[in-house]
Amino acid sequence: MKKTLILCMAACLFAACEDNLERSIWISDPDDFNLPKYTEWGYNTFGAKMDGSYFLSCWRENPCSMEWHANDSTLEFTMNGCQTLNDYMVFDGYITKKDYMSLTIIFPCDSVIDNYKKLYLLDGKTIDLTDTTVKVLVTLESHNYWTEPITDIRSGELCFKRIQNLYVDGKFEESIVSGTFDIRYVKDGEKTRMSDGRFDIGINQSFFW
Amino acid sequence: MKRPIFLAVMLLCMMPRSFAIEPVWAINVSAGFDFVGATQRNFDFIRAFRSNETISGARDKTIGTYHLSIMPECYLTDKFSLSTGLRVTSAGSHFNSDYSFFYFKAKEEGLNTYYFRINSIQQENVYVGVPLEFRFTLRGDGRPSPYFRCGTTFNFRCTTKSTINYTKRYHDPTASIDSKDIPTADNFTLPVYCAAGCQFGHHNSFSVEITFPYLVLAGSMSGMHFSDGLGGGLRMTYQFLKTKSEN
Repeated sequence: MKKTLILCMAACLFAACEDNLERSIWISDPDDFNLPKYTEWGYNTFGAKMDGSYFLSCWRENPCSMEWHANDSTLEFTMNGCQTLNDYMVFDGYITKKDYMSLTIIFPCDSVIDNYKKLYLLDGKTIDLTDTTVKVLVTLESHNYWTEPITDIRSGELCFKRIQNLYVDGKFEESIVSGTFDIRYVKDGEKTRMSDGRFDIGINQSFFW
Repeated sequence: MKRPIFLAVMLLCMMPRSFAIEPVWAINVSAGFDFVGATQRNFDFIRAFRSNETISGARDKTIGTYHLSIMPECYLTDKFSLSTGLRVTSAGSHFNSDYSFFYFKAKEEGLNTYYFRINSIQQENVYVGVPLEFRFTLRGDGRPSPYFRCGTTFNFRCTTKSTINYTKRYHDPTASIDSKDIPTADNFTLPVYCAAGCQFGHHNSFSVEITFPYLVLAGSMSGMHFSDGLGGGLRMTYQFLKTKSEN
């Protein structure tokens, strides 16, 4: 029993010493320290300004996921993070006062992207969020985690600036998806704007459904 | 009028005998090692280790140097000497992360990007230099004598060898990073140092000294680090072929 416990502890210690690609690495934007810098390393961060607050990835491992809907050939891109509250502080992406928030964008694709290895087909693509074939959903802790569609989108775009097929030691490991986003919408009579949005994430088999 | 001239002549006659001695020469052969504090550089081909640690994670590191010199020494007085000569210095450094490995971006080809998992990168830079040193010896009469030294070395880089230690568990032996992609140290460096030691013997003598502080004023002795910290070291010197004073 003692030996098993020691072996388990050693395994955990070794695992903790591995530099995992799924870790979130926050490099602050020099122009706004509350936002992560736009990078193309797969640092698993995202962030956007939001009318006096921020929508951030807040230290999650792999804060984004993607899902292919074969029935209508659409791809679902979800960013899971949090919205900063009043009197918040941000330390390397860790937020002291926050509410859970996620943003989901579902858009049609010309090509079949049914696994993470085909994400390179999005390279350089820009999605107009005002297009009627595009759906945008928001989930907020303050709204009891209810996922609500945004129907009145005044402007917005999701831009996949660069997709990289990442090979580590000769083996295909993940797709690095980097880009920008912004959106202006009206919901329940309230105008909301997300601007200066950026994301840099690694998508592997575990985060593509 | 005659009195000032008489006083000046008297003063000249009273000057210490040591200033009237012909310079004494000796040859020194020395070997030693020094270390200098260093900071790992940031590179755009190494994935960040942790949040906001710039890119490569600045950490307290050291660069270790070994040197071998042959230096003629000229005793301007029985206590004060000047030496120069030739010195060969080998500077070794080690680049790694807090984790068992780090990711090195080897190349980008279109949509494909290639990383390698690396344990560490070791580098050895060899310099040939001209040292210039001043030494003050407390006793010049052959008894064990403490002394103080200060000096600098004008170092010029000759060769660089970089060794990449791949993570054995993952490494595909058919693929590797070209070691020429690893930055080399600066071509010119200028370390400055002070030392205190003790000399045993007179005509043929042996001395041991401790160097502190040791710092690099210009350039860095590693392509992977800034030599921006303090350091120190140890040196042993054998002196021979000392000409005798004529007085």
